[in-house]
Amino acid sequence: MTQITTIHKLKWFWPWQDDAEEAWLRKMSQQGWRLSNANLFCFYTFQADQPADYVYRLDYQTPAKKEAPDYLQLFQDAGWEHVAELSSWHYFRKLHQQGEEPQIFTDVESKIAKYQRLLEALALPGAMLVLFMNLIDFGSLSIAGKILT
Amino acid sequence: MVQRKDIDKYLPLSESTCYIMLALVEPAHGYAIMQKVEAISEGTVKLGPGTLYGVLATLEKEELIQKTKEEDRRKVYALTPIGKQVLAAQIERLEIMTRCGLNALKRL
Repeated sequence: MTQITTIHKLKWFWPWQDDAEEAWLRKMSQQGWRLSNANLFCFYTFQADQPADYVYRLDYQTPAKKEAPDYLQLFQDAGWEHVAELSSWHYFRKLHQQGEEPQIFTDVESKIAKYQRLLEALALPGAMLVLFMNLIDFGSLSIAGKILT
Repeated sequence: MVQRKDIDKYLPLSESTCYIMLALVEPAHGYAIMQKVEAISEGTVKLGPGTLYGVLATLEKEELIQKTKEEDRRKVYALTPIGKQVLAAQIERLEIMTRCGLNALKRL
């Protein structure tokens, strides 16, 4: 019987559900699957690996291209493996040691700053969506509307 | 001489920011800052890389620190003259708070 070495999972997480996404990726690693790629915001690729307790953390960052090397180097120095990159999201993982929950954000101000970056990035598409919704006259699209006119 | 009110607009510094600036009394790069902060805070403050990167970017934008060199994809930072004044002002504030705190503890 051939060994399955790569699987794909389709799962949707809202941008603010990064805690839930981190917990799910950790559970997958405990079952012996390490994240190798993330695409299209819902398509995950995993490689077979020894079951291990890896803590995954997500960061939302838009460093200018020339800044990126020292961003990744800092995480690497601190023991975090850069697993995947999806748009402006960075996936890091670290082996869980007994008695500590590794975090990439250790104070509330920087955690807020991450969500602010996300909000700023979502603001334009969000505003355009609201504008779009307001331009469509849903009354004229309804079946009742068609019958009455 | 920088005006006092120009210094005050940076205060109070958050705990993480204050320790990062203290660690930069001698120039250092990212991970070295992380280790130094844990040591000088006697283990009470451990910085995550996401937090550290964000604070360094903010301090650099506010011109309280500056990059002195770059080696092997690591940027080395140092305090600017204004940065040193801001740090000194923050420590004065903490001294007042500590005195007040120690007095209050006696009455608890």
